[in-house]
Amino acid sequence: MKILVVDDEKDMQTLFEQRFRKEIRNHEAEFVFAYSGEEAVFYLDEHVHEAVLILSDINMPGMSGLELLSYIKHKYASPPPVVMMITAYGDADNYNEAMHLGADDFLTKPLDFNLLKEKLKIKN
Amino acid sequence: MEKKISLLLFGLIVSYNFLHAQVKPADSLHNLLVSHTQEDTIRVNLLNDLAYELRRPKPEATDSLIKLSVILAGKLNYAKGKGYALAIQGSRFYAILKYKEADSVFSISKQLLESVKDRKDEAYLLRSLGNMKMDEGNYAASLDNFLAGLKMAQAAGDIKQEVEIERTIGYLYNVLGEYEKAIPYQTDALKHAESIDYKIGMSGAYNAIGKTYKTQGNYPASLDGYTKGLRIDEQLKDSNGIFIDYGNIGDVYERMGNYPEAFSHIKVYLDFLWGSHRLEDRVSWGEWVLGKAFTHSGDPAKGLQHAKYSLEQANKVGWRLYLREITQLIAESAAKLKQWDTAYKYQVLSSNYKDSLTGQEIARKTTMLQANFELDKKQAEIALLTKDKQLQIEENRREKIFLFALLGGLASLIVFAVVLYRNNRQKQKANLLLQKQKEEIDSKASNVELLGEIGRKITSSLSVETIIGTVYDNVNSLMDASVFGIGIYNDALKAIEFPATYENGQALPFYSNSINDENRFAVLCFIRREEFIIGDLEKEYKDYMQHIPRPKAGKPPVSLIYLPLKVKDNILGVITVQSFQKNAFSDYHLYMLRTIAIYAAIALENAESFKKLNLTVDSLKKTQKQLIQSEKMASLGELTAGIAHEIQNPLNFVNNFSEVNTELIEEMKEEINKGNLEDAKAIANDIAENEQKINHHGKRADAIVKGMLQHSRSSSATKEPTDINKLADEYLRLAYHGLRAKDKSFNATMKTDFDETIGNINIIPQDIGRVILNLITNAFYAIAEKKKSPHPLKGGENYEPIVTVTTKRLGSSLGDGGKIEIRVADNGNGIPQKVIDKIFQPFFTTKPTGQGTGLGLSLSYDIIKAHGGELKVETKEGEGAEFIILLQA
Repeated sequence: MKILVVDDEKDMQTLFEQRFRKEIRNHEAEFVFAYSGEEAVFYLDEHVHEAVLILSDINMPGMSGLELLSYIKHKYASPPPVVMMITAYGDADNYNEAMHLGADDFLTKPLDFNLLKEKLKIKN
Repeated sequence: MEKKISLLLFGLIVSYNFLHAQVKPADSLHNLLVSHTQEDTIRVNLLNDLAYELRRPKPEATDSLIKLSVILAGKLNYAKGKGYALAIQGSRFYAILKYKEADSVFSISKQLLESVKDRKDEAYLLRSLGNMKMDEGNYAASLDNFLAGLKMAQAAGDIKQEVEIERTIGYLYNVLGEYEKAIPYQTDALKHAESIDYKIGMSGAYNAIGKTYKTQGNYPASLDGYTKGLRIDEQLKDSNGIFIDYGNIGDVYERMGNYPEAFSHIKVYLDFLWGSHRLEDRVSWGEWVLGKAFTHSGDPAKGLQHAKYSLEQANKVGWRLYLREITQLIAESAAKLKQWDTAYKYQVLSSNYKDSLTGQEIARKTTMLQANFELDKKQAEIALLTKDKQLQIEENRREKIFLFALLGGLASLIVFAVVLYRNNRQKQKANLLLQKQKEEIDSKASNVELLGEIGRKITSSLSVETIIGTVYDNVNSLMDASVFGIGIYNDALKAIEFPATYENGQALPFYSNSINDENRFAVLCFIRREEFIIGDLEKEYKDYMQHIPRPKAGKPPVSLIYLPLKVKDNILGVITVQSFQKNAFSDYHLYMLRTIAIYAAIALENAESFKKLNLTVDSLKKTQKQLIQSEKMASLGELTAGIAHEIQNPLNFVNNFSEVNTELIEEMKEEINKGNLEDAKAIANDIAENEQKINHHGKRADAIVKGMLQHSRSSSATKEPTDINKLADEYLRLAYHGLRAKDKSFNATMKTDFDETIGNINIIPQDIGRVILNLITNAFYAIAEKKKSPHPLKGGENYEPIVTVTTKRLGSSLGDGGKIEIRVADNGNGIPQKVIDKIFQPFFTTKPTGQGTGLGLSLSYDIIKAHGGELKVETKEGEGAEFIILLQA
């Protein structure tokens, strides 16, 4: 499974690579990283036919995670890729808007990687 | 120079190629232009035609092409080409709101085109002028230009231009609310477009017809128009047109209550916006229609979501056209969900928008009156001209008779002389009549101004007595108003009340007519909504009632006028003038009185709304006190909430990297046990790196928490010696963190200049802190705004946003008398002069709906006043604002 992680903080890449080091070593999961919404859009346009799961931050400079989410859900209508939001801003407004825009899941930071791994298995 | 021009042109054409492939005529034009390099009039025409075609898809290219064309046409002394080029340039200027430049370019263009009698281009020029006047709200002048342009286009046989102008006149009438007049022009546009198979014109006309019927509420006819427009746009493969058609059709279906169709159409519209470049105002409109459909079809929760999203999008770009409808929809949806507080808040907002729209309504009505009057005047002039012509024909005929008579012989000489004498008399009479008509028209022209002035005076008051007094003064100056009165209908008492009636300048006591008393002209006029014009009461009363009405106060009149007072379909009462002479009132008097009646009706309606508004204001004032309290909590709460969230970001790294390290240490131990020292070393390096990250993010969290703690520290509401520099510095940082937490793209330079000699001063630190925080937050908001939308005059290139906080000791530093000054300055767009008096008033805000309570500065002002200090502002539009706090040392 290919997973696209979108977050403006570059340390997220190191963190994901370390927390999933076994899965990466065993080729159970493959990660791609984008540091902004725009970069993610660019990547998705280039890799249209690959099944991708997207984990996106919300507060990012430029295109926000919510804008990215609604772009993905509108552009790739059938079937839309799975998009999970990961944010430090776990308030009701943010949650409701993400859900309204079609997010498949909503996780808050600090991220519980055990929970994430469980969810990824279900989504598989 | 020549080389430069052709190089520039080449660049333009190349860059154009990458763009709009659908602009076919422009394609072939630019090919022609490339092959035709000779500097002659043909080239000027090609430049102009290409400029015209590109004015929408690529306006910058139009601007450059026009410059080339003007230079070349000037060199060739080619007046027609230069005139047309300038006409295009004028419409470009007005498109970017440079009205002054547009005006001057248009007037040169007009001179040139008139000098060569080029009707085709002149028609285009007049259309552009008409459009500009319409945008400025000068509808009479706009109509003038359109009508003249239409005549020109017809004379030049330019049917496309005719179609465009007819459609635009229809649009103008639609804006003025004169739908009956709009439709004929729009159907004419359609007919003419069809006659030459001009598809774009046909689609435009169908759309215009759809819109007019929609505003009128005739939805089946509207749907028919839009659908036909859509069919043509589909033939044209005009994707931009098609998606707008879908939106309009969705909106009409929604109004008809056909929700499945409404949903499917509006979805196509919104999907198109998501797919292509996104236009916030369009998104806002589409979401509004979608929200309506949800709420009306029984899902107010979704309706509310879409309505709020619609409002957010509209606010993002300051799009005001539908604010009233959108806020109304929010209120309606919230009410259905029983969210009464939201419903109430947005209901108030919506009616505020309605009030400002009523102001527009008056302006619209006034200009409509003027436009109609100008039209009447024109028709009268035309009639006059025809009469002149007839007179001349008659004269020619007479001259022929004269010849025959001469040939007929001397015998008829005497008879002839008599005929001649009589003819002469007739001619004199006719001339006299003409003279009189001419004078009347001249005097009417000045009456337009007079009526405008009267209208302003009447509608400027909000008290019923003053309105009646003003109306009376003006009527009295225009006609014999021996008796004058205004009756206002009182629905509770079912009576028409006359609060102030004047007889020969004396006010009569209050009286009223029961609505059941049909022996009264006032009652008949009100019930039937008809005008009554009586020249001789003795003779004419029998036509309307059984016995002659006896006035409740004053003497019985001989001639009179009663007119209903109406605003749209709402009847408010009656207005009357009466005289003790027979036939005291002419058609002219009637005309003037009718116009004044409209003004009076509008003014009275305003007074009524004002009364209602006052009641609302009272209840609002009560809620205001509660709101002020919650604003105090909100300003702090908002910041701390943002920071509490923001801290989760570094925590995420601290938690997870330390967990990873625990795992890695286990792995390292295993490797050491296996004797794989190299692998163990590599893992140790990872651990060390992670350790650094933990440290870094830990410090980051620390900084955020410190800011928060400093803010909530000690909450005693008493004055204490405080280091003002430290306080200002803390709050500057706090505001910056708070904003960054909300919007990471936010960035600004912060400068401080603190006077270290100040020492401690005696203040309530949280209160003064709140003021400083408020001023700094405002400053940050101002620079963020300027970054988003630069001031139109000062430009925005290389803009570096700066917020400066300065402290200074003023005057004597020994003991009493000294003052401390704290300045918070930004280099944003500044505060417009017209609102500067209002900024300290509660509830005044320039922020979009929902973003500011309008209480921040008013609270700050109160706090500083309570400290015995002063809060002032200095600002220069386009350059920034500076707030100054003065406190006792």
